[in-house]
Amino acid sequence: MDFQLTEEQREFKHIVHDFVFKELRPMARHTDETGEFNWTAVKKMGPMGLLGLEVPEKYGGAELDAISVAIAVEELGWGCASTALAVAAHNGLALGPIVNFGSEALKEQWLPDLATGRGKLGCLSLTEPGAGSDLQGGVRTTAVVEGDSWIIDGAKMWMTNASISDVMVVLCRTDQAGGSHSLSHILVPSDTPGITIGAPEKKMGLKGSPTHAVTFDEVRVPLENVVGEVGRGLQQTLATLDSGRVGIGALALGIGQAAYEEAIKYAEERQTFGKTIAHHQAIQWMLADAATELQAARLMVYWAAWLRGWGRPYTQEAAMAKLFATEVSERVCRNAIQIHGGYGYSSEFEVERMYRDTRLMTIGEGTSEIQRLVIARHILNL
Amino acid sequence: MKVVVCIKQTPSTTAVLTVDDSGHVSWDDPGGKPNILNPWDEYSIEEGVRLKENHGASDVIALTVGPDESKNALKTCLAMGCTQAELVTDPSFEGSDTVGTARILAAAINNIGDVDIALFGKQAIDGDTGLTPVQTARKLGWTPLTFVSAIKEIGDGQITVERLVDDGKETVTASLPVVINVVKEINEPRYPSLMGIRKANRANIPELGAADLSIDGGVGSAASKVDWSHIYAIPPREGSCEIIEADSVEEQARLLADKLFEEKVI
Ligand SMILES: Cc1cc2nc3c(=O)[nH]c(=O)nc-3n(C[C@H](O)[C@H](O)[C@H](O)COP(=O)(O)OP(=O)(O)OC[C@H]3O[C@@H](n4cnc5c(N)ncnc54)[C@H](O)[C@@H]3O)c2cc1C
Repeated sequence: MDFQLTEEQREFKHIVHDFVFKELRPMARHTDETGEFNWTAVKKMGPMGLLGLEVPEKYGGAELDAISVAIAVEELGWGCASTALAVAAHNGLALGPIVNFGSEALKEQWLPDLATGRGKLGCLSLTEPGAGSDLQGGVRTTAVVEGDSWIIDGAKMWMTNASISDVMVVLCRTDQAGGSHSLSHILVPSDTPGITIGAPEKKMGLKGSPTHAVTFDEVRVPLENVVGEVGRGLQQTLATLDSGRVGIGALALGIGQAAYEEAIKYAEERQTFGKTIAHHQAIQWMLADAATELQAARLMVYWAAWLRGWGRPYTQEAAMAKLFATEVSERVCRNAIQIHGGYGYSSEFEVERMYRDTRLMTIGEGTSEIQRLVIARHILNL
Repeated sequence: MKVVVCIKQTPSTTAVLTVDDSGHVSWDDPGGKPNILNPWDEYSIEEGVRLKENHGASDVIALTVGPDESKNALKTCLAMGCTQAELVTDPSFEGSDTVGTARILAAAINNIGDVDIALFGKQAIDGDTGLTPVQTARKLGWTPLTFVSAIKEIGDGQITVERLVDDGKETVTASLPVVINVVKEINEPRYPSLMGIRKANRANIPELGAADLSIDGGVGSAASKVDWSHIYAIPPREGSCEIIEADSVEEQARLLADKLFEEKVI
């Protein structure tokens, strides 16, 4: 057993932390208030390798191990959850399927620009107005073969990054008969005629991460744009979500860590009844619980990432890590506001934004209920 | 074209300098951050890497004189894009003043050979003297170009740079080889890349000592002209605060202005 990061992982952490400290954190409030995507910082992430975390070096990526990826996403979340979500979705959800299942031609065509920041970002489009948790039964977007092309029709919802993307990996029904082999991933350049990207959704938090409804009206792409095998879309999605869940767990952990640090800072400054509130036991207990739960969450996230790195089964552990880390993050942010008292409810203080931002983490990439369902299926062999 | 960038490892920017009653100095980071590449040197490293990218420099060699731990700062330079790094270290170098360090750097630069440009940062955040670049130029017998804010042109054995001087900017041309120290206006340093870190960890960083560079004297604490006999903490500054009360802001401003004239502040 070894609970230490390797020297290289520690160095990565320092570099990403330093970058986030200088480029993301100071802009987080502006990003939230204006909803402007922080392109300035994201463009600088390209040459650093942060836009191609798991992309092989030969396509310009950083080719990191799974734990380093979790560390990077946690650090990004610590600085600005909006930007972190965009970057995590780009890496895990969009590039993930291309790297893991895509043809050599697709990799060569798309990865070098997407992984280095020369291009824009990528997105993964699963959810539809009638399909969220239940993709197999719910997806209505279709792709049919016509000559040497796919023709895609349908409507997608909640597409993170759509307006700031070069490509979308779209989950389409390619077999009308239905069933677990009726879906496929198709790579669609975002500027293909027939695509309409809706206005950014108005959200409770993560306002600097644009989310859109997107419609596809006779959108034509070459047959070669299928990512992986035709009919394997659901299986590829589930595999992508397994790693995405470790990522969301890490992101939530970063937000929770930031809120915890703000809470400590405030508790050591604010005085009531002749002493700093850090001297009141009620506050101490909230902080002690936060420290403990964050530590446990971090171990679970690293553990799931470690299993993934070794190619071992980790679906259950990823679900557990996501479930626990996101719920811990929400609790820690909630209590960070409590510790700030009235000021915590004011947008003048960072914890208010963190609470709104972390709220998504128990929903996106599989709700907490779906994580419990995944865990229960594993432990009960259902 | 061969470029050497002379760098130094320094305490982190958040490290706190303390001096105890017996004159013992410590310079530790409260958050436990490790020592870093001197922030001013990030600009010279960036400029060196740009000389490779834009002016076809074949080698950009990061060079430092310091303890073994300084290798970490050299790794940062490699991760930012330097082609090689070299550590110069020897027990006899300890306690060198800036002239001693310049002597060692000059010997190391001569040892590398065929160097056209030696880049430096403006100063190091620990000693803050800013003396080493010119002293190294003197030891090498090369032209020093100080406070450079842009490298305009390199060709035909000449270099043209823009210098940031007190009353404006000055464009000067000199024959290579030259020693340059850069100001922060020259560029925006890139962040080290994750790929670069991995490469840096695998890189072999050669170590050279006094014997390798045929340095015999003129270095180390014995040769130092700087006297550290009395080190003490800066006494806290005494000050007082006066709040000007008046019925209106205008009246307050008038009283404040009077006061400032009286104290000869304005
Ligand atoms: C900010 C944001 C960004 C997003 N980004 C993306 C993206 O980039 N790409 C993408 O494809 N999607 C994205 N989504 C969509 C997200 O993944 C879905 O919202 C999520 O999977 C839940 O689906 P749903 O909204 O349809 O909820 P539903 O599936 O309708 O769920 C509603 C409720 O029922 C519960 N529930 C559903 N099924 C069960 C069950 N079997 N047992 C018990 N409870 C159940 C759920 O837990 C939830 O509480 C994003 C969403 C948001 C808000």
